[in-house]
Amino acid sequence: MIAVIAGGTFREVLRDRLWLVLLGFGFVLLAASRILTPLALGEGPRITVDLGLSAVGGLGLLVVTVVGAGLVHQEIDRRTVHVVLARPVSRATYLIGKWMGLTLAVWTTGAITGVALIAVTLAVRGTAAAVSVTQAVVLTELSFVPLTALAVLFSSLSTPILSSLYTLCLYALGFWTADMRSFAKTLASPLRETLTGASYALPNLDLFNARLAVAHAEAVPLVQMGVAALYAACYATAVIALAAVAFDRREFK
Amino acid sequence: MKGNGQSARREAKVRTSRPESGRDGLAAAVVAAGLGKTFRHPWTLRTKVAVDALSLTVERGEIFGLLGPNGAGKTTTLKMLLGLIRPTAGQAWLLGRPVGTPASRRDVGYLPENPYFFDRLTAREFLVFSGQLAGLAAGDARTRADAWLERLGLADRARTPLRKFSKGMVQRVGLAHALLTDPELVFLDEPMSGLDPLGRREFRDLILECRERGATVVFSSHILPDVELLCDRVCVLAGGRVARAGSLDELLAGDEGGAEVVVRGEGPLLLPPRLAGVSHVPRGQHLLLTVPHAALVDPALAHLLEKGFSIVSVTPRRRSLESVVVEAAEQARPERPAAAAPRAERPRRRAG
Repeated sequence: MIAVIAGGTFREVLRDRLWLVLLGFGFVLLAASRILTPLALGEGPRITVDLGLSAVGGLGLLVVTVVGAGLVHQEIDRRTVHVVLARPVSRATYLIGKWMGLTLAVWTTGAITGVALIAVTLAVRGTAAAVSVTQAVVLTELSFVPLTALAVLFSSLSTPILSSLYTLCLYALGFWTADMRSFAKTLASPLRETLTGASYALPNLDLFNARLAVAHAEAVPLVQMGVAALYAACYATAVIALAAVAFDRREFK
Repeated sequence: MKGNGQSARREAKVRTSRPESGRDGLAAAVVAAGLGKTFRHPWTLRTKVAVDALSLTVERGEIFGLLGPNGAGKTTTLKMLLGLIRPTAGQAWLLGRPVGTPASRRDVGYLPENPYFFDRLTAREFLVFSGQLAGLAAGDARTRADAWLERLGLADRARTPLRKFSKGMVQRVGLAHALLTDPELVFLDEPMSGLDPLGRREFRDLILECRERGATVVFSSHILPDVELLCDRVCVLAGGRVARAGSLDELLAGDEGGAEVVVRGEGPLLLPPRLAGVSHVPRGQHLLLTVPHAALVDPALAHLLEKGFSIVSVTPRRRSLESVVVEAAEQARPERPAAAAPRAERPRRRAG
């Protein structure tokens, strides 16, 4: 049942004209990274990879916030959710299906631009760099897992604009969790505990950052990849569980 | 009227335990016991009673009509039965299973009011998706989707995205969605809206087919002639409560009696004093007589024949379903305080 809902969601997202526009925008960014190379004073290949990785991450984020953050809300608004929930489908199953479908769509988006970036890297920086870029792309794809879960949580509770805003805020804060914890240590109780707790509640997106390894064309340690994958799965599970509890209380008038 | 009131009271008897088995040892298709829904505004905390202590039983194999004015609670009732809205009071069972669980929606089809489906999917994709959600295997869902699209004259639009469909076509897809799995219980919320006369007849035939195969159909409608044609029993909701419930014969058998007589003949019609109360108006080439009481029908016919008029038709007068619904709505309307001016009056709003 989850697969059916995920499949339907995946198809819906990929047929959204907005998705095509965003994908086109992603390719423009990738092309721009190549065009800017001559201005980089010998750092051209590195600029290409840096900008390319930013394009993959940014594009995925755009798909999550623009398309994903309205996903459940739109279904409630248009009442298509009635069609699904009037079938023998639990609300939790519905949400898990929506999250999986959205994640799959975001992964597909990242995969399309990621493959293009890997091909370009292979051409301009060689095999070792291409391997580390591949790993960085995989980590970027994994970073979308908690983000899509957050988007589904907000979308099931709020309007698309607010959901986008919340998701973007948490994305931005997600890169500051380590700094938040360091800063919390300088504070007095109970502010210290509150900030530390908040930093753990936020998605730790630094775990998915492989820019340093890519800059030196080094392989990302497999342990980091495994920890990141495990963290993404656990965080998303917790968020979706929370969303399911909240969604269970909703009325569909 | 007395019988109707008793019937409604009988329906209103509240169950507190799991419903017992009905005919054929199977639980009734739908049992609602004291079902209620009160909405509370999240900011103002004002409450709005949409459904109040609703109790009804729909036996298997029936076509059951839910009637009532706008805001009577029909859609809210259907949504509570389907688990889309949580009741604030009472309990209900579908095919013997408590509502609110996914299992209660097994073998259940639903056509929502003013349906809106996934508009980026084609009609076929949507029906296959819907069938798989109901538990069909992909291959079976595809076969059934094709058969239903063919049946409803949409085979040539099977691969057209739903956003390009007209309202009537969407309604047909919605009916196919509701009936795709040959469910034992079908809920249709305003199924005839947006349909042309041909479509309405087609829908009526499909609803009757459901009964022929033993399925139960519960539908809400404002198109009362369709209800009269289709329903075995109806429940009239007004102000969120069961105002009338029973078979059409029970509800429509009134104290009006009498008949409408159409006659053809020459010359003016003069009625003797013993036929006081009988009125007549010209209708084309004929005269239409309204005989207000059953006791006057025979003397009136005898008089007409004696005066050389030919009888074209005699139609017994029955209460119309419309008058039953209107009467129920009037009775459910809150009484106006005698001193209150109309401008000061604030109508009670109820969710539909």
